[in-house]
Amino acid sequence: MRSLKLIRGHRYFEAQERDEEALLVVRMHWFILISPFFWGMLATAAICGFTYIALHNDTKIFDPAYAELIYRAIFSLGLLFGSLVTFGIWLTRYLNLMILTNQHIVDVTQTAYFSRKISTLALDSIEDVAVEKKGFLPNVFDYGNLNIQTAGELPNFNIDRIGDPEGVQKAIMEAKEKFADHR
Amino acid sequence: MQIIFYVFLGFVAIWFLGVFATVYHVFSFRLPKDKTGIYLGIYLVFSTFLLFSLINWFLSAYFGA
Repeated sequence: MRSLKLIRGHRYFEAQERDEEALLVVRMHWFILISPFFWGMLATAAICGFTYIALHNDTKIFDPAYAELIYRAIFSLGLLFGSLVTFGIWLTRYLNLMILTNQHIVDVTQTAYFSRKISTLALDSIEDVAVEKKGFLPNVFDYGNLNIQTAGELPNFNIDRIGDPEGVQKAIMEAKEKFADHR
Repeated sequence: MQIIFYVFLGFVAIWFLGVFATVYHVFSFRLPKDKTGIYLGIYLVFSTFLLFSLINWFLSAYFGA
């Protein structure tokens, strides 16, 4: 399982206690992180193809006097905003984190710009951890979702598209057992 | 031709807002010692190059250069 490099003594989230230590910090799987760039390149190729064909085949979609100007505008704007959107999608996915400490699980979800949700769950509230790998790509690239079922009325915890979910599941269960032993 | 100027200004303003949001998120939420700042730098260089392409379009459209 691939955790980010941990820094001792660093506070990974606001509510982290003084005696609380991070054990595991995981981002989304690399395949999920780079997939916006595939789509971005595909969109760029489509824009380039459209402008090339339109300019070289006398399509007459626009008035010929302004056609080159308009196609160049479409091309420039397409690349500029395409790259902005692609990088934005990558960044919002990259800022998604799951932090496992010796007391809590923290799920940081960045759904869009200026939309961030940080959920914390105490290890003793965990009832069960289920792994879901559904489809061809998750099985080939070894990523999937974790569904953490909680005790009582607390809502379940879902952590989406992380790498090696079985390894993370094992780490959570081990941390839960250690936490229970210490109490 | 005035419309070209306002369209250009509008797009540049939207682009600046997008870049501001990106920079804000990187510096507010990145983890210490991660590589997000490097990726942001690469993106900003690439994006500035593309902005020059749009400026070039505007200059040729507006002034016929």
